[in-house]
Amino acid sequence: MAEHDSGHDDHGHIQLEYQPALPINNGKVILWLFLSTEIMFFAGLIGTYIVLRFGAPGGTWPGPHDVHVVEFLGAFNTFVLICSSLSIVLAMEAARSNKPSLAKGWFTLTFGLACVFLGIKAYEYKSKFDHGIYPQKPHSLIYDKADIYYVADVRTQLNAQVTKWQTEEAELATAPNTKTQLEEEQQTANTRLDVLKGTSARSEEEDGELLQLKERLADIKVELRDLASKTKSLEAGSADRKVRLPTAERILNDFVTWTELTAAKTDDWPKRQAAMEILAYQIYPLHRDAHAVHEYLRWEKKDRDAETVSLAAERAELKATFPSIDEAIDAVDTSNTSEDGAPLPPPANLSPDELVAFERVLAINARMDQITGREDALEDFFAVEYNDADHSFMHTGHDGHAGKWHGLNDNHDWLKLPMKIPSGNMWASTYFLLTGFHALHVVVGLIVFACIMPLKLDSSRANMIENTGLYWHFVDLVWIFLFPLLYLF
Amino acid sequence: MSSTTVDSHADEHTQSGGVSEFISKYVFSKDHKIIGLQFLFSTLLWFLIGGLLALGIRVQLAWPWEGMPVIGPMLFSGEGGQISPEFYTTLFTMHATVMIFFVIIPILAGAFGNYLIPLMIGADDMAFPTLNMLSYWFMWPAFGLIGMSFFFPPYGAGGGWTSYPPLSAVWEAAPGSHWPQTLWLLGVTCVGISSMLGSVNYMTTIIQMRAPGMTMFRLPMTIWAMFITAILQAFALPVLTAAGFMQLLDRMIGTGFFVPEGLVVNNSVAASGGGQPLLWQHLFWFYSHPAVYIMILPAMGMVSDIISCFARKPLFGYKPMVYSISGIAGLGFIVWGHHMFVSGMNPVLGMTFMVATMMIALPSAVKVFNWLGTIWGGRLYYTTPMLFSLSFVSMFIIGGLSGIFMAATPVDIFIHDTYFIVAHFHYVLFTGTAMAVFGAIYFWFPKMFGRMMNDQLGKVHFFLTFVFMNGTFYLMHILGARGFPRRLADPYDYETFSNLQPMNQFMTICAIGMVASQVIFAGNFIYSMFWGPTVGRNPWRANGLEWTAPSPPGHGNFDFQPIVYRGPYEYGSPEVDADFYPQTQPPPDGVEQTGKSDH
Amino acid sequence: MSHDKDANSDHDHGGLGKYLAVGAALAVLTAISFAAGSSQTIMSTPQLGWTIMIAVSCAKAMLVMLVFMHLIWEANWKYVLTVPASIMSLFLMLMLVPDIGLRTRNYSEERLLRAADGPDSQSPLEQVAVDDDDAQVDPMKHD
Repeated sequence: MAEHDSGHDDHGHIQLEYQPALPINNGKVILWLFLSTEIMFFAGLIGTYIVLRFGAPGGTWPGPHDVHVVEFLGAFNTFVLICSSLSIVLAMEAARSNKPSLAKGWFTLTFGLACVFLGIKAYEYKSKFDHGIYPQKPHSLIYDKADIYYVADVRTQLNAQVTKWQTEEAELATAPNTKTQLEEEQQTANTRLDVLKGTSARSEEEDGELLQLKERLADIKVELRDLASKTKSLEAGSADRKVRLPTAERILNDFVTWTELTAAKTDDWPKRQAAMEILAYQIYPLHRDAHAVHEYLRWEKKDRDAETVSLAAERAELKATFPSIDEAIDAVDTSNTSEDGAPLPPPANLSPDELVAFERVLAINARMDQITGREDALEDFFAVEYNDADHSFMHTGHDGHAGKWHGLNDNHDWLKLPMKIPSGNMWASTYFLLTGFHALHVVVGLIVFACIMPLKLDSSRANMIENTGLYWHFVDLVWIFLFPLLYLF
Repeated sequence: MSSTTVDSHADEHTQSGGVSEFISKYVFSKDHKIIGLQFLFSTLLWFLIGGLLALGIRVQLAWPWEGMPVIGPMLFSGEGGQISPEFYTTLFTMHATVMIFFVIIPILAGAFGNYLIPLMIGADDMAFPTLNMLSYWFMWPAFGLIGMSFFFPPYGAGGGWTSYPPLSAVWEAAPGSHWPQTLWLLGVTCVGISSMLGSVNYMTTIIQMRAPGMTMFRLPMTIWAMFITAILQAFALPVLTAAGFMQLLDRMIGTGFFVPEGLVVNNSVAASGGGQPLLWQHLFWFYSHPAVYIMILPAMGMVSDIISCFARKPLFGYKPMVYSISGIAGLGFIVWGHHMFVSGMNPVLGMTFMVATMMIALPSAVKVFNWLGTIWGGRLYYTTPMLFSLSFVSMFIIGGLSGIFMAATPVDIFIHDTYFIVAHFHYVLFTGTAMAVFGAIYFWFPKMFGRMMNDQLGKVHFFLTFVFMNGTFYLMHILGARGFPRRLADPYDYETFSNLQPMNQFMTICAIGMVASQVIFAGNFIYSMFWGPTVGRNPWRANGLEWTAPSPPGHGNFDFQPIVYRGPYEYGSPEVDADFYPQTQPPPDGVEQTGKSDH
Repeated sequence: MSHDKDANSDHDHGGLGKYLAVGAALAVLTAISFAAGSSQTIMSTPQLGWTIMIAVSCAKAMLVMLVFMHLIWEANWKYVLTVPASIMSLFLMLMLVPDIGLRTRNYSEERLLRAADGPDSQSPLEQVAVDDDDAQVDPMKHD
């Protein structure tokens, strides 16, 4: 071999010959290799899902209806993808037999079907998001169990909502006052301004004052405008708030506080747990819990009744022993303590024993009110009626479906309270991971389709369509496994 | 694309007139040789950065809390130049990340894989040059993202290069969490995309673009190793990418794949959780154990070529070599659990992984014995590349043997997370792979730049590096056997380790010497690139196809159609007078022509 | 020199009828797994339903790969490219089972307290039922 410096051999770029190992074009080789890496990618994702799903503690994995998964939509989407796979194969065949317009037709159909798939996917995502079923930092709305952390979070969220509305209402209430004040200030300032302007020879101080007044007037104008727009937006929300505030407050009192009291009052683990389960069920009912919660409610009712009876007896006894406290109690009942918030001072004419009895009766009354409130709330929110004959609850439901128990979150779409969905956070994590990465692959496919569509799809492009098709079939393949795993298992 | 022959890289540098021409030729080039050199220069630069980070670790271990030279006063002027424990965490995390993801993997597959694959199989370029270019340019977002992590509080990712959850999966976890860890994950994902694009391209090229007569069993070991490496990357890497995305989602939007129930870190709100930290370890090591072979197989291949060339003897046991590389790769997929013996993994799994790991010793031993068999009775030329390769073989034996210690679960439970493991992987990765890479640079430098590197300086570089690296890494075995823990900023907090400090000081001095010796290499490299003696096509009188192309090869690589008649290791063949017998040289009359295969 | 990388060599097959038949079969199979998933009888033994659905999915996957992706007409390289990846992916999933699939077996008491509640875990109801007989005890006792 000649050993020479090759510096400027003018050989250019000669066409080299190869001996390929496979009888297919390089594009197809690399695409199949790429699909192998994709198999491993989805193996990582699907494997993760499978072990997390079947390893979830004690069959807790949520069923499709617990998390608003509609099986039919999944099946339909599978069908859409199958059709798109079919159409791209037909596009390839048409291109191969050199029928560009037919090929374009099939290709466009594939593109359209991919869009339909994504549209349905988006609709499904929306239904999850509307119900607050999605991962969130630092903690999602989904709780694995109804425990004290859950109840505490329900209270926090509800309190935050109520406080916000109350502040807004208060702002709305003070708005006219503020407006009047500002207008008065404006008027005085204008008057003073006129006076100053009328003065022909102004001192330096007066000049300064004039300047200040002008600035202040401009500020007031802005403030008034802001106030007007704010008042307008507050007024717009006012009607909603007027309906929602009492409801929210009632939920806070008759559900959350009730649960907290019941749970705090007892050292009995089952009773405490039952109280929290009832709350969780009231907010977001899981079908699998229905039976247990009915039993808990039956049991709560029993406790409630027993407590009412015993409280009534105690009150009657106290009133019989200390007849003189009747008057004081009537006074408390008729006068509205909440007018200034502060409790009325105890009547001065009572002896220490009577005072104790008086306060006890007040406490009993308050407790009886609580119990009544709870009963009313159960009836109002869930149309629960107690059947004395067989000691069971009837849920007539708002839509007349017997046995259909609507959750607070469902009945009031403005409520986004934490939900108890065992393994729900894990479900949401894996669901969005798998469908998300699959959807991402669909989007990539769409981009590739969009790049190819303007071309003339004759036989020279058949390989290109075939390779695109291979990728698209793979996307279809992944969905074929995702559909039963995510929708039907 | 211009059909002008690309002259020497250096010459073109001075000749090229327009900036745009320069950009299309040297920046966004689709030529595999330019892309290979781009990988080479980028990775050598990161090699320097990674080495300096390592010195930071060494200084802290030798003289804890005494104030870090140079970076100490810059970053921690308030503390008298004394680094924080968090910064130590960042140091070892970034050292490992840079060395693994920015140096070893890209220099082997990216630089040498790119440069050598088309040349050694007789192709004019990769099968998909644009994809090849993209695979280089996906490294830059990774460089940027991981570099950026130094500028976001708390300044540098500190999750270790293994990024174990739950700490790494929780945003609030200090140290080194918040943005740096997120950027780290994104950066590693970009490296993953780059490697994936590269590996499918390499495989396609090797499968489809071999010169006539170049059957699979006539491929040089380098190409076999690159091919197997590409397969490893293609199959293992997507799993890490998937796991990386999951950890990103855990950090960013509060999914719970790797976060257990009720986890509270750094007074954060209890996480939604429901996941399993062990899941990450499985997915991570499913990639990262094969990655260990990605980091050594190409080195083994290149060393085989170099040793055979300078022993002037055919490679001993070519086919067993191929099978053992494939065996190592195959077994490499089913041994990842040996990184997790103390993780609380199911003991049955641990047992399986232990046995599988032990089995890897067999193909590895086959390779070592084959190298020894190649050297045995050869007429050895102790050139610089040969010295580095011989060093690779001997050091790989030490690194391999210490690996068997840790494959045994009972032993591993004792030495897990001590300096013994640090010694092991530095023996494999630095004294092994890095030395092979140095050897490969000295060996293929004439092909890359058309000029020789100085052999005298090369030998000085070799001996200094060899002495200093053993001084640095060998003692780590002893530290490890004493239980000296890794990843601890100040192990001397424990009374029992305080007497080990002098040893650490010795190691640090050696490490400084080792980094300093690389100045010789850098000087030699840069000087020879511009002013080294020019060489012809085949300075080493080697057989491979790349040596029949011009030095440096022009656009399209070959100025003739290469036709391959034999394997690459026909040194000292009786058929010809010369002691080498290039693959393209037609056999003399009367000798049966083995010709092309029916592959 | 083997130069037979003719891209069209493997395409004198297929045909509209075959593709349509496969498309129809896929639709029918989807309907079958949907029916199995919605059927109370089958899903009362979930293992049975899961087996049916996975079998159907595998059948669909084979149809798509063999016909739509033309593997049935390809040379033997199809095994080299598809079988290792499939084995590796199954192996990965299998190896995750002992540690993550069976994870709750190794959960500590503390961790189970935080884990999701399910029908299998102890329900307060059982204790309530036991307490029911002496539910007449003074409800005020906790006051």
